[in-house]
Amino acid sequence: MISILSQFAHKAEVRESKDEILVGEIVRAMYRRNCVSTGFYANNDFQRVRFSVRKDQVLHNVYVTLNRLSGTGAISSAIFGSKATLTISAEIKNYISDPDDLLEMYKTDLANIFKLGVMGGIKLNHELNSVFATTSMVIEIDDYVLKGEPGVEKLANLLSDHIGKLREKLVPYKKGDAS
Amino acid sequence: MEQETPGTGLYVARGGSSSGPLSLAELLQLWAENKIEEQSLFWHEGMPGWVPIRSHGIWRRLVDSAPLPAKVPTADDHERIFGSLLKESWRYHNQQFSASVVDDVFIGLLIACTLDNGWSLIDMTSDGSNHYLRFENFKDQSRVYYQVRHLTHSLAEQKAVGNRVGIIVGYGERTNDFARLWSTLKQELRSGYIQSPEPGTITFDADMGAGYIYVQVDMFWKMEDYVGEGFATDGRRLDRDVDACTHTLRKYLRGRTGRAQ
Repeated sequence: MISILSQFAHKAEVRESKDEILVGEIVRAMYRRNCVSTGFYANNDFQRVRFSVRKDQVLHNVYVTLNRLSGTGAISSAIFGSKATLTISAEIKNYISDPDDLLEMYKTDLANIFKLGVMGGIKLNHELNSVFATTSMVIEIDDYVLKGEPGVEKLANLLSDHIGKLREKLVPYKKGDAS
Repeated sequence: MEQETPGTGLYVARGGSSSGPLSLAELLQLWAENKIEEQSLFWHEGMPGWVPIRSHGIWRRLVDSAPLPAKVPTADDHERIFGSLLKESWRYHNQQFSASVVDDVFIGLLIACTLDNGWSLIDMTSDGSNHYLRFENFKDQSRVYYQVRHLTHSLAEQKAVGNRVGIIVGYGERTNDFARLWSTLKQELRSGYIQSPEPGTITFDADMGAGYIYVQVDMFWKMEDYVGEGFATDGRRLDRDVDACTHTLRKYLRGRTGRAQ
């Protein structure tokens, strides 16, 4: 009896943990890309990790946010799968900013109104010395976790692809270093 | 009475080395550069020997000489100076930032290393300073967990005592053996008497629902061992230390509660 009950509880735990399993794989994939974690915020179905990008002339930080939408229970998992919103945000940091940048900020804010992040559109935001490019997508967690090395590779490609696109958007906004 | 000083062929000595022959203009230049002091010795042809420069008439000429005009900075100089002030400001800003997030770099390294060793992250909570991570090896269903608390947030604290985290390392095994669960539960009750664990205090925990028994130990780890300048990380060192803890805790758990079925 104990065996059956504990087996049931264990399966439920693993099912509920899929988003954490994915976050673990994201952290590992980012370390392999030379990005070290410099901030964690994590609770039940929401995880956000900030990564510092080492040895990149453009990018300063990358933020990855995973917000689980479904699949924590056995029934919802069977019906809807394990869906989550994955948001990737890349940040460049300029050593100096001035009022002209604020003007640029209003332009990008206006453009953002017509962009849908979840449809793969990239939004730009200015904040003091930083400029952010952000994109969001709904993913199926099961495509990436508990699939062995192919799942890990698929995740690494997804991250690389999106970070590369965000970086491309940010290049024009990067100013020279203070030196 | 001021001695007659020729315009050339002058010698000055300080700290065991001498300069010369110098013209009067060159001597004044050395003075302007603070390379001559009261104790320096002075000599020129015709003098019977070296004398302290302070006692020679030339001293008056040096003291009365106007300081060299300061170099007027160019526009390039201004920009270079502004740039260096800005750069120094960012250096300080980044130093403070690095000091406050070194625990997060450590947590990321811990996740990457643990996953490389065949475990999967199954639980994570973090408020930025207190982190809880739990991993499971799906092959044998064993688990490890870490509760990490950053103790030295500021640069000053880190310079004084090193960059420290309080860490609880735990190891767990799944069991269907009721005797093993019961034995751990008794240990857990005894663990409850420990109010404030010290390094090396080993405590037990039994999760009757999922059938897990855990053992854990409190420690303080030094971040510099794993995370260096510019967030350079030493995964090999962390692997070694984590392996040592897991191995020892597994042995301890099995020794206390019997071998896994």
